[in-house]
Formats: sequence, C-alpha cells, structure tokens
Amino acid sequence: MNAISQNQNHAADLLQRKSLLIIQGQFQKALGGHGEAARLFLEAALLEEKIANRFRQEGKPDDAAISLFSAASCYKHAGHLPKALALAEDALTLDLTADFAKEIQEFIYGCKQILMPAAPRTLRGIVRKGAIYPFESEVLAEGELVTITADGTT
Amino acid sequence: MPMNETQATSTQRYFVESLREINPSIIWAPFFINPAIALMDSYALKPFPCTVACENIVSALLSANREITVELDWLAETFPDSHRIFQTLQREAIVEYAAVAVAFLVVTNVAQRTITEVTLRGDKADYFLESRKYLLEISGTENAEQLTSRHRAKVHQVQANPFGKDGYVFVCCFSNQCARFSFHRFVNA
Repeated sequence: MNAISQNQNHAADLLQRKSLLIIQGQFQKALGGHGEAARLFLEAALLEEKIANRFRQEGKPDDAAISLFSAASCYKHAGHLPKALALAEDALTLDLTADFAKEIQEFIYGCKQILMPAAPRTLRGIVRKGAIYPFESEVLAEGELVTITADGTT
Repeated sequence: MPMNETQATSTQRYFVESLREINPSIIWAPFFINPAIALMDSYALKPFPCTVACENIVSALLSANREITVELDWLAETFPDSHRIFQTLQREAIVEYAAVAVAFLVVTNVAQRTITEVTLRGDKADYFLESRKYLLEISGTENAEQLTSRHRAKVHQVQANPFGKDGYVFVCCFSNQCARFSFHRFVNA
C-alpha cells in the first residue's frame, strides 16, 4: 500500500470513528448519561478538529468549515465552551455562505451567553401577610416593600 | 379493468441487520438496528411493510406510480426482549432512530446512494451522502397526520441548508406504514 492510499484510509477511518462517537454521544444524552455523553462528544470533537485541519491543508475551506463547526458543537456538548467558541470563531474566518455564517454567529452568541457571569437578579415586592425571611428569620411587616437580591440580602 | 402491471407497486424485502453489510466501513450504521427492531416489533407486524412514495428519485425499482413497498424483516435473535428499550429510552427518540434505519436501507437500496458521514451542527445531526455531496434529512413519526407537514418542513430545510448542497428527505410514519422519500435541489434565496 503506498503512502497516498494509506493517508486516504486514515482519513476515512477518522470520519467513521468520529461519526460513531457523535451517534453514541447523542444516544447517551437521550438516555440521560450526561457524563458519558460529554466524554464521547469530547473524543468526537478532537477527531473532528483533526478532520477540519486536513480539509484546510487540502485547500477545501467549505469542508473545513463544516468540520470546524461540528467540532465546536461537539466541544459545547462536552462542556468545553471556550474551545467551542474559539473553533466557531475560526470557522467564521473561512469563506461561508451568508446562512452558514449567521448560524455560526448565533452559536457564538449562545456560547457567550452561557460563559458570561450571571447578572445580579433582584426581586422586588410588597409583603402581603407578613413573612419570615428564611435565612435571617427576620419577620417582615405586612405592606413593607422588600428587595431581595441574588446573594440573599434584603 | 385489470391494473396495468407497470402501475403495480413493486415490493422489496430488506433485513434490518443488512445495515451491517451495506457498507462495512460505515461502522455506525448498525447502531440503529436495535431501535428499529424494537419499534417495528411493538406493532406486531413482521415483516413490517412500509409503502414509500418517491419524488424526484431515480431508481429501476420504482414502478410507474413512483411507489415502492419495502418489507422490513429481522432475525428474532438479533434483539430479543426488544420491548425493554422502551424502559430506558423515550419512545420519541426510538421513533427517530428507527426512521434513520429505514432511511439508510431505502437510500442505499433504492436510490443507490452511499451514506458516508454524520456531523453535528449545534444540537442537530447532519447526515451526508457520497462524501458530502448531498445532505439527508430524516424524520420519524407515529402520527399519520404529521407525515405531510414533517415532509414539507424537511424539504424546506434541505432547500435552504446553510451548506448550499442538494439533498434527500426521508420521512417515515410507522403507525400507518407509509413514508415519503424525495430529492431536492438547493434553492438560493
């Protein structure tokens, strides 16, 4: 077997292995095995990234973009959001259709939303019948205006 | 008036286990065998008949009415106690997996296309045929009323796919043993 056909066989093998891992990852997720699903998606992501690099080296940017976004999606399912974000942004640098670019931008926005620290949440209301604030056992008077912030202060 | 022979729907029988052999290098296709057996077994129809209405599909197996009946069979020993899968996996997911199995059998045997790869796009799996030349959109349902609307939605997805590729759509309704299989060109909006 010459070097070219060996190389082609290796590429085909990578495609099939990562396809199997994606299918298995989705199946584990459907079963509720999120830990195992994350492990499978991570393995798939690593292979898909290799596939993307191969396409890029072969001068096939369309295929590279498909694999890069697939790798990014796998990393997201594996819980590796910064890596997912980096690959999606890398995919955007390639020559994409407007629809594909839009879809990747939406994915990036979704990742950033998850990565952003949660803004403080504030609940405001009026005590109706008198209540005991659970952490301090503080009795609140009826009609009193209270503000409860996410860190538990009143 | 007797039915013209060319008008009769042709029938082909496929074993679900043949997913292991249709292309041995596609190591992930057999993954869909067990869910398909479990679902079809739950209808107590063996072989499980499925009338596939085809649109824009080129195949010598199709009769003039563009239909084919596939009889899906399996070996009893392949997945004994198949009903147990319903205790671990939601029926909706089993229906989708079963639809993938039937789609792969029909795409391979009727349209003579080779399934090559699956990629992930967000939460969605994309099936590719012939080294990413074509997309394959698949859906399964047990609600006969949804067959047309699901097919329409999938056709729209293929025609507007972000890769700009042509593609096939396969939607299977298990409750009335019907499916729709079609080919569509990418529509540049």
